[in-house]
Amino acid sequence: MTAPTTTARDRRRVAWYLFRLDLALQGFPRAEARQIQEGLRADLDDAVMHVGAGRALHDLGSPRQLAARYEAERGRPVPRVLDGAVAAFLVGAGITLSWLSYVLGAIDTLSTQGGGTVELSYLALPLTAWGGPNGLGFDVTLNLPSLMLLAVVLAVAFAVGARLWRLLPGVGARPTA
Amino acid sequence: MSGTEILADASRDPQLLKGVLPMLVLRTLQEEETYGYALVVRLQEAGLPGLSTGTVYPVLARLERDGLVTARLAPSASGPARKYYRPTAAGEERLVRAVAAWEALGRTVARVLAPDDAPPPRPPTDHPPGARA
Repeated sequence: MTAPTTTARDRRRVAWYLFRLDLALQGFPRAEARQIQEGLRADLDDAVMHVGAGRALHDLGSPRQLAARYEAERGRPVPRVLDGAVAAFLVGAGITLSWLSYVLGAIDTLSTQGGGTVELSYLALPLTAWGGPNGLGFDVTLNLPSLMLLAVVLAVAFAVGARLWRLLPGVGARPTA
Repeated sequence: MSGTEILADASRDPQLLKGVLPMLVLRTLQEEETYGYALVVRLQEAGLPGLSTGTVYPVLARLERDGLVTARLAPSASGPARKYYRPTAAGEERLVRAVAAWEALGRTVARVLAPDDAPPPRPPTDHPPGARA
């Protein structure tokens, strides 16, 4: 082996790679993911000194590809919790934006027609909107049905994004050599 | 094409390599306890130059999880402690079985591919049954 030539930039690249791998290993048992990371860190140290950071990281493949290989060797796929959280967040953000557009549209219509107050319901959420020369505004009353509907929609988005069906016994199991 | 070139080609074909890689890893570790990166280098030098660390490490992790290899941490002068692997008794047994299976498969493949042993060509079967005398 050649003399150590690891630079600060190499260490940053390795750290960034391992961080992305950690994200890609979502769903793995934490102890297993930590073991993988620790083993890789030591081996990468050697590889970087031997062939340079660029080649060492290239040989591993992208963090996503490497995580997929570890997953394939595990014999069965694991749920992707982070993807589920992102999916639930995006759906929640979409609902919030569409709800805001609906309320602002209602207020705008009232203002255009000379003012007034209207009681509406959007996604089981009752709201009162008013608009006119004296001011604009809206009032929302949270209730159990609307909260339950929101919770169900977010839970479904999370389950689909996280591929929770992978937890079911026998689903996606692959034979190992 | 030489044997080494054939092996080099095999290392570029993931499907071809997938079935034999655990056996090669166990055999290499049987010869000498070593750590992940050195293991990859040894396999590359043995005639698999296209073999990448990204292919070997997951196999190594699986062998460890299945109890076929055991690992111990040893300090390294260059950085974090290295994990040195060697086959367990179960790993040795698995290796014996894998080698026997590989040799049997190799014999079968060789027999099928050998031109002298190839069965004589079958007559054309485009005639309906009973049409021939």
